Amino acid sequence: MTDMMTYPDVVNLAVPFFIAAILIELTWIAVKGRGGRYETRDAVTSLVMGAGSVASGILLGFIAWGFFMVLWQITPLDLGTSWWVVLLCFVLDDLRYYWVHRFGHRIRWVWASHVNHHSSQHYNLTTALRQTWSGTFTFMMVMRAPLILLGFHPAMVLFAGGLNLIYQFWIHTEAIGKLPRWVEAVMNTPSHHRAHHGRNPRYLDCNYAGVFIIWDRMFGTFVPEIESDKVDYGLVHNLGTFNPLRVAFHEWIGMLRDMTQPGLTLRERVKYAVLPPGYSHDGSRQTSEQIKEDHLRANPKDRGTPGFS
Amino acid sequence: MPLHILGPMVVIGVIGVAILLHLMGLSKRLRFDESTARAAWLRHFPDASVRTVHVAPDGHAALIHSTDGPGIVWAMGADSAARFVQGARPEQRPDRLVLHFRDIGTPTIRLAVPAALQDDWLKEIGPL
Repeated sequence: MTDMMTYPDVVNLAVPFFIAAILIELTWIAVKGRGGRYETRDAVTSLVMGAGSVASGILLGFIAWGFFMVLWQITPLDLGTSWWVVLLCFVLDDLRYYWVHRFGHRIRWVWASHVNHHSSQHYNLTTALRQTWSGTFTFMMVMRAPLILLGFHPAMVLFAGGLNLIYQFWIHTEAIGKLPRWVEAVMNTPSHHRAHHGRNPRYLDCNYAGVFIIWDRMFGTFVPEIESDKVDYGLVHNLGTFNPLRVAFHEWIGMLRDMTQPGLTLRERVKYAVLPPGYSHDGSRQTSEQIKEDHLRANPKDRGTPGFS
Repeated sequence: MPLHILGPMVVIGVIGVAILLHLMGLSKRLRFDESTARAAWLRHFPDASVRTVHVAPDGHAALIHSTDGPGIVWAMGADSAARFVQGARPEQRPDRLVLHFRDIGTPTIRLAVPAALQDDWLKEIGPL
């Protein structure tokens, strides 16, 4: 069994490309006068979140790596390093990403980590870098366990995950409209991912794909970007701070406060961690389903249209 | 990539983008008039209809009386944020009115309301 295997750390290697692409997008917007918006503090917050995410990976990455190597010692399977194994690993890791991302929106414990990525009211290439600092604490590393137990080497699995993240960088833009039909049918595109970042009732909890949008089509979470319902970026309740520490940890603290408030049953405390964002024991908040229902009461003509079926 | 290359590249990249954006005039804060403040509030709380709007003298915030209670909409860079003010702790400073919240995502709202107008604003806001 191959214990030592190395792949390039593609995310770190892509940093110069990220910076160059941001400058190109900014120039494009300035010259054309369309294709997105930039604002200084928002962009700086996103970039600092990105830098913090890389730092967090360097500091805490050993936890996931240790877990993966234990699994690698246990499994009797080793698929080797053929190109088709790498390709298969990439596709299956994208399926893994779909479910981790879906859990990231539907389980508050995981949302506490992912929320910062949605906290910008802008949608440009810096938004792509607004990544979590606390992913390790979601324990979503367990979602990679099946791949390793199936015989994909941990280094290959992380390599595939890095490529997945790099793919998702370029789709965080308003500068690219809709792509040819076959591309929109198979791949995650700027249009599909714009919808994912929408706080409009229609777009809540849709388009979880990383690279291949087919997962959303297969599992019933696909909603196309609709011209008549322009995407409004950000959170249902937008943050009142640009402080990266607050952006990174506000939901964790909010969740822990909810879980530890006096007078709750144990079941209610657990529900604050495992049910979707918006759950409250007294019904004082709204989940995305309730927000959609409210919208349909006010706009019955939207019933049955994408995002409301 | 070695850390001694990655670290400086990231720091220089962030600072460079920040300076560039600022020089391009992209640090301007959103300004409200009565109509845009109303629209911004409804963007955040579509179900809480607006009764009255008081725009702060600098135009960067507004006090909203809605059907669900009083709230503030204020500029977050080029965009806006909004929240109801119930539970806030007001602090009066010579040049501004500060509302403190027990909310890690919105710890304070600083309103450029001069001392002479602060009592009027607090009266408008009502009991907190």
